[in-house]
Amino acid sequence: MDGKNDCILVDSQRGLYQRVGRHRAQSNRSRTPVEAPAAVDSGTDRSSVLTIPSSDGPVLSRRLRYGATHSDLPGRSLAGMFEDFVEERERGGMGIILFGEASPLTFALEEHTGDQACFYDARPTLSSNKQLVDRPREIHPPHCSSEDIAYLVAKGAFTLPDPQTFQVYFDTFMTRFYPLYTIVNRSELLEAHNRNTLPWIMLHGICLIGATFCDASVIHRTNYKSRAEARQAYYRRSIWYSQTFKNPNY
Amino acid sequence: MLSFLGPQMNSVYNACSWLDFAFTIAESMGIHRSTSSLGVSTKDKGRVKRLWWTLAVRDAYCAALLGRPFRINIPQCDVSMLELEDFASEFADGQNQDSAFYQIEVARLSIIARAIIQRRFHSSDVYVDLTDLQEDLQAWRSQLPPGLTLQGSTSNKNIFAVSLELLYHQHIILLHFDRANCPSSSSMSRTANIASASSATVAAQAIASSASSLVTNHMTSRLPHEVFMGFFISGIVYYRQINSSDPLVSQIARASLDNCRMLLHEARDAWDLAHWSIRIFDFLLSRAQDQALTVQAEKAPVDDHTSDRAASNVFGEDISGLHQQDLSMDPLDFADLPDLSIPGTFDDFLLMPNFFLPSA
Repeated sequence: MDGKNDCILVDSQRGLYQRVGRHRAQSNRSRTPVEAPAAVDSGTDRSSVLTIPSSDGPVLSRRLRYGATHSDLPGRSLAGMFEDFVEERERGGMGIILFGEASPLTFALEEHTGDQACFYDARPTLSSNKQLVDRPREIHPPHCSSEDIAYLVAKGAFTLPDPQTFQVYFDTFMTRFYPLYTIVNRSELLEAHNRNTLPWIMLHGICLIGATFCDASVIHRTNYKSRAEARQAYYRRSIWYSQTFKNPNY
Repeated sequence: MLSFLGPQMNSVYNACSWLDFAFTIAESMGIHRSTSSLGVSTKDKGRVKRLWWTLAVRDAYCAALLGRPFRINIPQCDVSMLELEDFASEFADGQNQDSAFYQIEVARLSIIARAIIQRRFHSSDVYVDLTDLQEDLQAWRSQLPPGLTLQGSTSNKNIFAVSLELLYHQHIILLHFDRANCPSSSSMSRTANIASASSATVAAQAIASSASSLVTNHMTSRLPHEVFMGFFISGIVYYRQINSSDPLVSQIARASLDNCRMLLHEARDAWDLAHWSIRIFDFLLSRAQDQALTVQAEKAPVDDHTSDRAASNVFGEDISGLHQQDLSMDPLDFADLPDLSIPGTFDDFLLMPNFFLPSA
């Protein structure tokens, strides 16, 4: 299929895999933990009434569902092949993203049994975002008109604190917020910061978080009367920006 | 990140809607499914799992605080639990492992939190026995890495250990909080009710007693926002005890409540709901004082000496003539401190869960 000689046919396992947490809905709150596949080493084998997702269990379940590990995968996912078929990918995607959920859209596509393709290939979406580092901040989204940009300039959405204050906010973000909520990749964020390519929405978010978690003395050195006022200012800039651009990548 | 301001629930853009946006985007990227980990590098796999569980944790405690339904339906998502290797790319040098362990433990605790909160809705299919949940909490606490317990930590300023300790006690209070509203409470034995109240009091004591050290050590601004609710609900526990017939219990409760109010005041500009928490206590205390005045006026003429000691509460109201016992315990007067402006509107208060009005 699609020029791949190593493709094989497998039986569909749809509906046969075990979903995490299903037993929680049972009225009889048995304390018997979910019966995990024998091969799974969860590493979190506490006997509990609650199903705390294990580290590997769901992955194994998904393998049953799709019958392949990544190393076995052909180059194109089923959803990707469908996008190619309708020639929508080049035009920015279909606007419908299919992960193999229990929906009629999925069921219909799964009627295609020609190869062992996984349903959806997440790699293009979830791989490290080089744009974060490479894209100059001055380049605005193509769909944003000059009027939108003029509006944002007038509202102050492209305004940052003085470099010294921003650096304190950034340091606060990295030393106080990041250890509690490690939601970014440290090296990528630092590189983008050093190259001045952090997106505006990220900059305002860092200012908001920095003003929230910094010492009060930092706020006193700014023109804001209070921490609350500073946070509101940064928050408003984020809203103006996100309202206008509506694209998390910018 | 924008959910750290507000909630400002009268606006389209509020803490819940920002989380909603994040969930929608995350789902569009497949982060809610373990399948999303397929094919991505270890670094990216760890990043998306950290992102997902951060959202799940924020969702759980946003729901706990505001009484809103969960945005994330965990049984419909099969993302595996965080583990140390998900932080490998961030803490490759072995440093800051406490940070990783902290986030793992908070993610695990959030699952228990969801069961506690669901229990409030008394839905039969998600109702978990109180004893089971208590055992889960104790098991969770007993399995904490030694460096993340206050006993095992080298410093009582370890922000991760302090936060986990506060979160544990916060969950104990939440677990025992609404026994008066629980449909099974009428059938509960008196002994069970007393034990439940006792557990909540002990947990509230642990939280309230930490307030002064957190403030004096300037740790308030470093705390994760999830812990602040603990000081609010501890204050509620103590407010209920202020009307105790035992003067000693009443006085201790008032002092502990003021401890909680002190920390909330310290955190008010960073955690916006602290403003409302403070005002709620001000309102309740002023009402209690009015009731005490009414009772006193019915019993005996106002004592001249007492009425001379004019004072005002945070609303600037004249509270002179209070019972001698009340005046012997001057409440913290936060009105003397600058900037008591409150972000948001009264709608924010109305959207908070009915934590304690039945007993007010």
